[in-house]
Amino acid sequence: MAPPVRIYLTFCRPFAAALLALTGFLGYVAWCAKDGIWHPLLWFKILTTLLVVYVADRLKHAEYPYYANLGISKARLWIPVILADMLLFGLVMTVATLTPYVQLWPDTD
Amino acid sequence: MAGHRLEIDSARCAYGTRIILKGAYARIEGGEVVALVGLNGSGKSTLMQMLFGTLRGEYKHIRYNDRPCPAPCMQPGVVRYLPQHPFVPSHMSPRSAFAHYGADTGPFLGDFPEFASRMGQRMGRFSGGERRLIEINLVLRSACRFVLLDEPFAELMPLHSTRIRSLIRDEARFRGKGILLADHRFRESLGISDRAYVLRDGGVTEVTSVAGLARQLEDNPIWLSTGLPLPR
Repeated sequence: MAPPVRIYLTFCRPFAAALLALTGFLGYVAWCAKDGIWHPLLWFKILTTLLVVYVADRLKHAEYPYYANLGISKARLWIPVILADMLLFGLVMTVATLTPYVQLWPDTD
Repeated sequence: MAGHRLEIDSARCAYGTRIILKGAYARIEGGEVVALVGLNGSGKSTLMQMLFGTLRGEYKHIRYNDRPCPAPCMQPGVVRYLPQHPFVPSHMSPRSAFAHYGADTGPFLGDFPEFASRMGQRMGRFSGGERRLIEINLVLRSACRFVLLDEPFAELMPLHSTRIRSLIRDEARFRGKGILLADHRFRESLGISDRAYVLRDGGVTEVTSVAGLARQLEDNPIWLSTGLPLPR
């Protein structure tokens, strides 16, 4: 029987890119912005993650028996994925806000 | 694996105001094939999903070897379920799926050598019938005590259907698996079954005379919807 990590990677492979791109984009915004950006970005992340989860759930509904056959319920599939995504988001945001902003291109003025 | 038993008792389920099952009972013993017969909408898939553990319904009591077991699918190595629709993720390959399920691809490729060069191909690239064949073998050949098959012969050509029937009988007879089988092709399913359950009006009736039931259905398939007595 395959280790559970491989199975989770199989499960989230179709929508992982969307979640990672979103986290990367919000990390970039936090890096560029001034202080006080955490709160709105966190809510934005929560709402968009819920949207991704809702769409993925609808699209992957037929696949749940594949994982149920392996003893993994729908909740056991989604909870670790969402927790890992939010932990990664927290890490990216922490690094982004602690890293000093460096202007990558000159002003056009 | 013989000697194991999986039972569902007092199963009740309704969709809105429509009652599908009212107090249904079914039992599968290791080493036997049991057919589930009924019209469309009679509750075959509902009963299977409740027995598997993914559908709660209004009430059910499931026992595995006479001990309560609310969700058999969560117990390792107890039961596998083949749903009516394709269920292996389209981006996966058969090789990966067999690896996840701990099933050996050797016997599968021995029976169906045409898949040998395509085991790394994504499931989404196979035809409907090919995909169904892979999924049936994935479920039947993985290590478990019970197998629930919902419309296994759908989309299969007659040659493959014959081979799958032999596989079902072999898995029951030689590996001691208990197999519950629901299919509209009652000739195929009853021809390999030891017993049958007939779903009618929300209830389940056990029929041990499988040959008698097959004759009744051969003469008049609509007979399932009537109140006429069933052959015992």
